[in-house]
Amino acid sequence: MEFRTQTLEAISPVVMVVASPEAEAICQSQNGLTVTDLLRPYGFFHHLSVPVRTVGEHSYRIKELRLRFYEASAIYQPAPKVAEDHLCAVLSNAATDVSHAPDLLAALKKGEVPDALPWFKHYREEYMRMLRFSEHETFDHPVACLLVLSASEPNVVQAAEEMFQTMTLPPALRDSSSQATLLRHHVLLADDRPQPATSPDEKLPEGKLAEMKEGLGDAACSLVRINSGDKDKRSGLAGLWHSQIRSPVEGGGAGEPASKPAMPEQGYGAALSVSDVDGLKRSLEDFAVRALIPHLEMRVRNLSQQVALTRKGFKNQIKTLLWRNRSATSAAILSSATSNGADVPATPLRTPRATTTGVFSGLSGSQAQLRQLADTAFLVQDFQTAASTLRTLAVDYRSEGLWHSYASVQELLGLASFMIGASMQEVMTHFKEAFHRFSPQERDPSRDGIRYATRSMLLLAQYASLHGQWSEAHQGLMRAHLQEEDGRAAVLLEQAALCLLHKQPPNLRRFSFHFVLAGLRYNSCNLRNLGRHAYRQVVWLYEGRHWAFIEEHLHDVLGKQSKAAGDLHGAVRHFLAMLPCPRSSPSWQSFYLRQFLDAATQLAANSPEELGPLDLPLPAVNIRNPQVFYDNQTCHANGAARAVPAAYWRRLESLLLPGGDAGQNWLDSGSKTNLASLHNEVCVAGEAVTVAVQLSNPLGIPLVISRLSILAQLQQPEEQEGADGSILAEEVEVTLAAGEAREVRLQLRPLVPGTLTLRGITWTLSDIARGERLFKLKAASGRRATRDQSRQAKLVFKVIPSAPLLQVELLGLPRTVAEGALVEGQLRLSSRGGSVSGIRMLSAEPDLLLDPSAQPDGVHEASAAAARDQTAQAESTASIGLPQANVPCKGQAFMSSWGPDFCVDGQSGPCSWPMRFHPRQPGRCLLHLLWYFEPRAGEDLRFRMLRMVHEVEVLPSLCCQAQLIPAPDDLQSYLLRLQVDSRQEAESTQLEELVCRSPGWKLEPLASAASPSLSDPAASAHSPPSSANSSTEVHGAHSSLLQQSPDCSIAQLQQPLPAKLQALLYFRLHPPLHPTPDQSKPDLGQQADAAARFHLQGQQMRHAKAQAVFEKQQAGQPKSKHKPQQDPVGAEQKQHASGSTPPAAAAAAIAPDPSQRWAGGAPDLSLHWHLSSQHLHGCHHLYKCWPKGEAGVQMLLKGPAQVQHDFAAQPLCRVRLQLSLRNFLSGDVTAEATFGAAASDAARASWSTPGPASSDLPACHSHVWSGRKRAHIDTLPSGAINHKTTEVLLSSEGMHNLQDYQVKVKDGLLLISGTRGLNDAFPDFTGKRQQLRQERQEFNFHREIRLPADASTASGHVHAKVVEGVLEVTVDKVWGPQASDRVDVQF
Amino acid sequence: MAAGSVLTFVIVGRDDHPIFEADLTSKASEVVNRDDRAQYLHQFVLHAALDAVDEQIWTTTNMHLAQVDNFNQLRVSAYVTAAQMKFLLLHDGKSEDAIKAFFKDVYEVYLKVMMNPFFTPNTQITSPSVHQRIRAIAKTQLKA
Repeated sequence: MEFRTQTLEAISPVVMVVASPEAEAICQSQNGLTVTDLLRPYGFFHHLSVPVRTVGEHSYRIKELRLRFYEASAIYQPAPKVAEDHLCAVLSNAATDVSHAPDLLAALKKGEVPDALPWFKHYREEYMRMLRFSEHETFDHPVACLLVLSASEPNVVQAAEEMFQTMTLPPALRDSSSQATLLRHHVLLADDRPQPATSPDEKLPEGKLAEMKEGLGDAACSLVRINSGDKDKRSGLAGLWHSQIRSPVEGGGAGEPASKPAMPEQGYGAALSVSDVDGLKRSLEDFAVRALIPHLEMRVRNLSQQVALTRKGFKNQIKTLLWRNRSATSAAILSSATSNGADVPATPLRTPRATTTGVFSGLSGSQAQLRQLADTAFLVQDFQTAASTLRTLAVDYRSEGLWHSYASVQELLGLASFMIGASMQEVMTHFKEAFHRFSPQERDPSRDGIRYATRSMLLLAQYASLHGQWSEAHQGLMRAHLQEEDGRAAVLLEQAALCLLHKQPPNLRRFSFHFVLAGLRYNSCNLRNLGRHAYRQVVWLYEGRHWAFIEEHLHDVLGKQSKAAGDLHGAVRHFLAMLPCPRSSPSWQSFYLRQFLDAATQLAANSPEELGPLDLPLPAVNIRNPQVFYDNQTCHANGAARAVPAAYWRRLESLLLPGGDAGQNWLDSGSKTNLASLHNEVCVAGEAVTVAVQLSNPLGIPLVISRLSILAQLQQPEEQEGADGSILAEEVEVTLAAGEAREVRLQLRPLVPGTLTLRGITWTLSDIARGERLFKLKAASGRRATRDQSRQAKLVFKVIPSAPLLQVELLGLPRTVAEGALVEGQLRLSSRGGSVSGIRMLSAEPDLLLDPSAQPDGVHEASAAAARDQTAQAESTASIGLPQANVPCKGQAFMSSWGPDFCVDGQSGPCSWPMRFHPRQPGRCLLHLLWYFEPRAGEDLRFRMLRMVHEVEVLPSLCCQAQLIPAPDDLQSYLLRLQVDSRQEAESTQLEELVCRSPGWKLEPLASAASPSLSDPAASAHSPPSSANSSTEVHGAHSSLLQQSPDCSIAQLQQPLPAKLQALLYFRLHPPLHPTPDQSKPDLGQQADAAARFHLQGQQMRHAKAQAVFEKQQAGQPKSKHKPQQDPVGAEQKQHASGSTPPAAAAAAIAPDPSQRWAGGAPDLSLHWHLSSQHLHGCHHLYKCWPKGEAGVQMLLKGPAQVQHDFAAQPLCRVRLQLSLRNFLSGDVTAEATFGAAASDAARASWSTPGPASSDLPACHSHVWSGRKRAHIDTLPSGAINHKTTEVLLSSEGMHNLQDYQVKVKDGLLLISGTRGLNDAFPDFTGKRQQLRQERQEFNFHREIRLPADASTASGHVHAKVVEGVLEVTVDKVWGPQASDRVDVQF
Repeated sequence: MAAGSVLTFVIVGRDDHPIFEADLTSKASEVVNRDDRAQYLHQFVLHAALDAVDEQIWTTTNMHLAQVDNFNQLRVSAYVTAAQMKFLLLHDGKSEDAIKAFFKDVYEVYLKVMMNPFFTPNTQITSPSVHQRIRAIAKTQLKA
């Protein structure tokens, strides 16, 4: 509706209706309408063309006119409190049913935002109605009086006069002057119903009308006939009155009586016919055109003339000025009297007639005439006159400070300005000025004007919104709501919010805030339904935007209101949304959880079917990335096996499968399809499918989660549909602590073949609320999309019929074991679901030793016999069918095979084999075992793979270091120094025996000196070995050579080694005299002990590794790019096999020795030990013990250490000496020995050594070499020994120090020179231990020196250089009490 | 600063997602008193002010938009970066010059956060150091 129409409807002439009781009875009994209601729909006249001339020279035409009919008794404004109660009731009625309210989200999406909410329109109309009939506005005052009489009245003229005299006048007309201006009109209401019996004296209505016209005037009377229709038939006119009938205010007023007849069953106006309505319409139109409009026209003229008389001319202006002053004074007096509580005169001053506030102007005097003139001109649609009059009046009121009257004038002036086509800005300025002046000021805190101020803003909002000025409308409503009470403020806020939706672009965020404010206001005045409606409209706007407090507030309010309203489902939904509140304190989180659970409990008690699975946000579930583990052709024995990268397993599988040797890249992977077929989404019926899901608790309180299981669906083939219990899902209980995140593994077993779909997970929170989340794998775009689609597909499995599965148990395998221990355990094989055969096992580590060829324990007799028979047959035919144990194969793996025909039956129980475990490296030992077996039943799987990983923590036990040095007294044998460090924390280790496993080698303890010495490694770390050992010696033990065999040589020790101590063991090693068979492939019988087999295994691995390194070096290829961390096999390859040799040294040590020192290679040793508390035996292996450093040409001058001679009988003593030289170099050398004075003095001095301290003989130098003074050895082949015999003549007794001999060795570039005294000869190892240490000192001193000929090097203690082919050694730093006592030369 | 004063700073990213929130008053503590209705009222006012920010972006070329909205005694000042990240400060009558200086300093901090290659317009800024620095800036510029 246009604003113009609304204005004309709101400000139109008011006709006061006074009906006789008979007339009311005629109307109400048949139609359910009062006379006033009957007339109301026909108060609108269009298609008029009535010429009117008011104050101007020119006339205009009224084309449409509206009349407002009110009962005379209801034409007054109700008291403010009554009006407020009525408006609250309007809102309460609206709140009873908000279902018809539009969904703003849907409307917004459609682009059809409503202009107003349904209750706003009604509320606005009622609000405007409550403010009608104010005293300071005359456009609501009646301009005509319609006296309605019944045609059955016997004397209508007299009755009309009586009625007019006795009628109750509205308050505005109680002034006699106002009453005189009232237009009087009479309506004779005739009941057209068939009358039962009429007396002949009674006149017809037409007769009475004539009588009335004769008595009251022709134009002032009319006849209206009603009730000519059939009451039983619906006339179709009932809709006319629905919009016209207002609900009465309590006590009456505002244009409606206190009570109204109820609507009859047939509807309003049931007895009215079309002719009745037409007659009524014609009568009212005649009244309006012939009587009312001329009356108003005349009244405007009269008022205009009166105003002109009182306002124009100098005299009148003076009067007006004086009157204004007096008026202002009076208003001030009244205002002060009111505020002081003084009695206000019952009859106030006539001019002006002030209201109690003293701000409104009365309706008398010149200003009242102006106001009446303006209002009447507005009613007669002379808007120019109205506007000009109002402007004049506004100036008057403004100058007098009558602000409410001024505001009222501004309000009407705004409407008049609009009607005369003023600018929008001007119109809105008038309304804003009216609002401003109506609003309570600081000096006038009364709130009387607020209602009118709000009305001004409502008019402004309506005007602005109808003209597209939504911002102005919004601002006006927002200004109005600030000073209003809650209910009205909420309505204004909602309307203001809707204005924001009409803006372009829509201000959604401010709209939602206004709605929330409106909801709060509604809740404050107990209009819960409306408040809930307001909140609901905006929840969607905040959801998912992470404004935590806002969402929490909305859901909190909505949840509580829903619960109070009995909507438990809604309460659960809103309380549920509040649960994830990590920013709240734990106490609030606990409260929210309890609140939700209470609501859920109530809902479950009332209607369990409504409490279905909820989308619970607690706990937080990572639905984007569930990990699914399942077995098909590839099975996993434990979780650790799944943790190993699949590529590693595939590499092992390629060694077991025929044609599965995948290449390094896709180009040379010939049998890719075979391997790929192993990893399809296929699972086996009866076997578990495990889903690992990440759960996390975002709250600060613990969460109890029960019945956590997988949500899955198994679609069976058509012929098997209908079977129940096809899925067995495991239910888990979990308690998540505050802030805890955990991966939970859930299992389910499809029991029958079909298609299995994993949908999500379901759980119960605190044993009350059932929740579920469906998996939604992460979506991606672009190139990754295909990959993610395949991930989504991984939640769908094809379930194939069940197949037998091999079950492997490693019994006796400890979780923690000492390094080098020999653990005996048991391998137990069993089968589930059928028989399996063709069992093979591939191990990537050499630490586990199986023996499939042994007789299994507990094997079924029949199958054992069959296995024996088949084994015998296989022996006769081919060796491939034989059981094999730990056969090395490619990729540093070891394979054990049970033979093709060995069968493990699922019904006969498990079979056991002995198993040995021997970890050789401390740290975390992972045993990767891959089992291959062939099910004997089932067609879908020809073979299956079982992956198994066992983790054992290996603790360090002993650290062995061997040092091999050539024996100084014997050019054939070596001395072995074995240093054993105990790394046990508290336990003493019993060293049992040392075994040399190299064939031909002889191990011999150094007689009684072989007893070990113990020392604290920490204390001896920075001290010389000899002195430290001597000071920390604990005890010795007897050691003897117990066994010598061709294959190995054993030295028994039986020596306890306390924890954290060190033992030093000395042995003499005799190398084999003749070449021994190749050790790379020794033949160990089945009865060989486990230690020997592990030793051999390690030997083979070292050999293979050395071979690989050598081949790589030969080929000039770079090193492998595999990182050890990524490849366990590679890591194992990198680890050195010996417990004491670092990897680099081991690689160098096992390299082919160019010197070919020993025909069979360096010796291998095993040190056996025993831990008594754990009943644990173990051994450490030492491979390829090379002498430290390179040996050159070694010499030895042998002779008797003590000679008895009778110088009296024979003046000269002849002593026979033998000089031996052995060439340890790879090539031939030339040597020359010089005795006597020819030897270099410098050389002699540098090699001088003091004699034994215990000698009591005097030193003597009188000796003479006899025979040849120079012996030349042309060729000393590599490894050969040359002996030269010489004699020395002694002429006196004493200690002869034979130092004047020299041996020069020349081998091309190298020239090695050395001298040695006679008493330097290495004594027998039969002395005391003190002597042993001395010999060791000397031994260290006399090590061979080999230097490049073209270099000069210096070490820390000794400067050595080659001068003219002779080695010169200068000792510049010595250690010990005397400079010549000891020199420790290290190269 | 007087008790009961209001000083809330929010950085709003894409799709109206607040990526950083801080109560910069000196009384603010980690434990939020949920009985205080001001907490969610502040968020409502700040969220509603985004419409005003969107309108005022087109009226100026400056990144500092000054006061864009108010509700009762609460005022909202805004600063919009070139990437349409909105800095909103809810206050009760601070000097515009001080607020402008505050926004400028916070923008420097934000630029350093943005240099993180993993930062997106919807990434929550949870770094305690950022929180401390912005609080220090507020203390310096706004005497909070």
